[in-house]
Amino acid sequence: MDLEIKNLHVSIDDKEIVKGVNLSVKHGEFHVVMGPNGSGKSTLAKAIMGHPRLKITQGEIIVDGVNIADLTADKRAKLGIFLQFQNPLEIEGVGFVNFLHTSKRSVTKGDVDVNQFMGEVDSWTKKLKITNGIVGRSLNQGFSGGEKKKAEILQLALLKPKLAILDEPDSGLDIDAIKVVAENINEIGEKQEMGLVVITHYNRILSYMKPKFVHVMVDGKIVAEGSTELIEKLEKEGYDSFVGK
Amino acid sequence: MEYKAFVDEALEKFKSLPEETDELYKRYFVAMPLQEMAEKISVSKAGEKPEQLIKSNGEALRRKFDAVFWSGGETISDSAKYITVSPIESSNLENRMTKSGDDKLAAFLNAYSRRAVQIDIPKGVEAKINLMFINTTSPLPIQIIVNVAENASLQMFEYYSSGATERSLLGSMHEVKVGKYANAEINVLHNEDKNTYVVGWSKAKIEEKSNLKINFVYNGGTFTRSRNRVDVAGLEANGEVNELIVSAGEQKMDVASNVINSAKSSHAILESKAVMMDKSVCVLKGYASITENAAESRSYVNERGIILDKDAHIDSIPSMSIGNSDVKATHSSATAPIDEESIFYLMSRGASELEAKKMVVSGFITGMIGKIDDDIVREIVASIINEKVTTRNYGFVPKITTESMWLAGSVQRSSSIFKGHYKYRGE
Repeated sequence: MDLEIKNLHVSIDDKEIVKGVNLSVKHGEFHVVMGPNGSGKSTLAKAIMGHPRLKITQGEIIVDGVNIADLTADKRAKLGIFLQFQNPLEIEGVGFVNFLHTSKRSVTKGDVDVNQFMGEVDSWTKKLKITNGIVGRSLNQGFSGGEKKKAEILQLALLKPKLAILDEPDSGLDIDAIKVVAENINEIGEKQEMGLVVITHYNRILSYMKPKFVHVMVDGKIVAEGSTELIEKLEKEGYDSFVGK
Repeated sequence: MEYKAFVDEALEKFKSLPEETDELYKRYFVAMPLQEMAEKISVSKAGEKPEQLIKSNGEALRRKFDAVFWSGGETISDSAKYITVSPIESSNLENRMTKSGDDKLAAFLNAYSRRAVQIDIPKGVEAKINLMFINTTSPLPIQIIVNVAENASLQMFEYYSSGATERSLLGSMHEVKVGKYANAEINVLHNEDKNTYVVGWSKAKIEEKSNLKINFVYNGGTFTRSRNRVDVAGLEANGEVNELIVSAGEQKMDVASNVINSAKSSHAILESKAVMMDKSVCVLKGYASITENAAESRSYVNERGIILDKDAHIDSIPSMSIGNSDVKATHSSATAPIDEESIFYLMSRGASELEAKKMVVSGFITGMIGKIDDDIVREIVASIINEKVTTRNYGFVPKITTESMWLAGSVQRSSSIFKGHYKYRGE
């Protein structure tokens, strides 16, 4: 899947947050978007996924040559786009396994063999070192911050999207969990040959990953692009050197 | 007292008691057309047996009913036990008529119901009873008197349906008594059509070390007015009233319930959940009272609502009256529109907007459905609600499938409800 974002402007309640972003993610490419708090990274991610409150005032989101800006989130999910939420929602009474199974059936548009699916759930649960029986609970209810993030990566592994946008997969994780999550993202990404866009503030998770492209987003715009040397620059100079560019 | 005198007194009471005086109800509800219904009942002839309705409901529900009651008669299965019906001619009817107090609805039902269904579960017996009630254009007011004797156990399902081509009424009046060391679960599912007004009046008394759980599901009827009162009157007795309201179109639901702790170490629960769609309105009043002699008792009132559409409305009013300081009592209320972010989250995983809303609603009510111990009734309720949220229609039975049971995953037992909900109310 190829994603092409052209001059994207996104507003919420008439306030413009994303102010003309251009971004190209080709099939299987690994991109990182970094930027200070409030720079519009999460809004960009939600706009790609189709959040109904966000208004695209200008520009296009093109997937495999087709502008998807008018598609609802479920249709984008069925195309193969996945958003890992920064703050996954807790939903009372919706069993986590039922949710996983329903989601899998939705995105694959067909029946899912329950036994095989549960085998996959079990396997990825172990790989992600998910404990405390969260699989048997209601969706994200009572999960710790780290468990929520791992549960999102579990969904990524099971739903097998073509393009995944991961919004701060490292926030709230301890140093061991960051490594586990990063290694699993690497494995899933390679197996599925999926395009990956990882949004993060910090370079710790990136020390376990090999992104090809790095973008720096400040005040709703991408102000710098390059390869991993940008990460080193950010580490040394912080975001200040990019502000006002 | 002669039966005629009893009815005359009820008629007088019905006429003399004022219409609803509560300002809140006046604001949202038109007056229940009880007088019009009373006139219809007075002039109506014994209706034809609604064979097709009974057949289609019975087949769709896949449950064998022990007795079916309609406006003009009843059919009781040959194999049914413990069910008797007192017709108008019965000299014993007066003993079985319930006492109305000053409740206008009860007075109406006493005045106009011509039959009392008596369920008597003998000492030590375990019984399961399934009853169907159907009103047609002829209204059906009926009394249901349940006596569960000492050490006995009853699981009862009451299914209310209708086939009315013009404005009609289905009214039921319950009087329930649960004897010492007995257990009873009564599941009441209202699924009447759009022409039917629903009137319910229930009174229950629970004796020493016995348990009563009543699960009301209000899904049908254009207008529902229900008044329920459960007196947990025995030492260490448990009373639980669960109300699940699912309202769409222009349905109006008016449900007021009262649980009373009137004995030492008694436990009472009143839990209500309402799902509001379209332009429907609900006034939900939950009132718990603990009497002076009910030391060491526990009471819990919880009302919650979820609003799916901007024109739907709910007024949720829980309240308590506590007459003893050595008790544990909690009441709470919370209502909110369906969470947009939750819908987006589910849609981002491939669910359509409708599927996402259904998932959120099912999550919201799953605990309530889980309280129904009867597996098949749980399945029926889940399917009917699933259909209601999908199509906004009511008054018919959709295909009952276990697919709808994705929502009834967790079963919440009464004993666990109290955990973490106590607030000690000291001097």
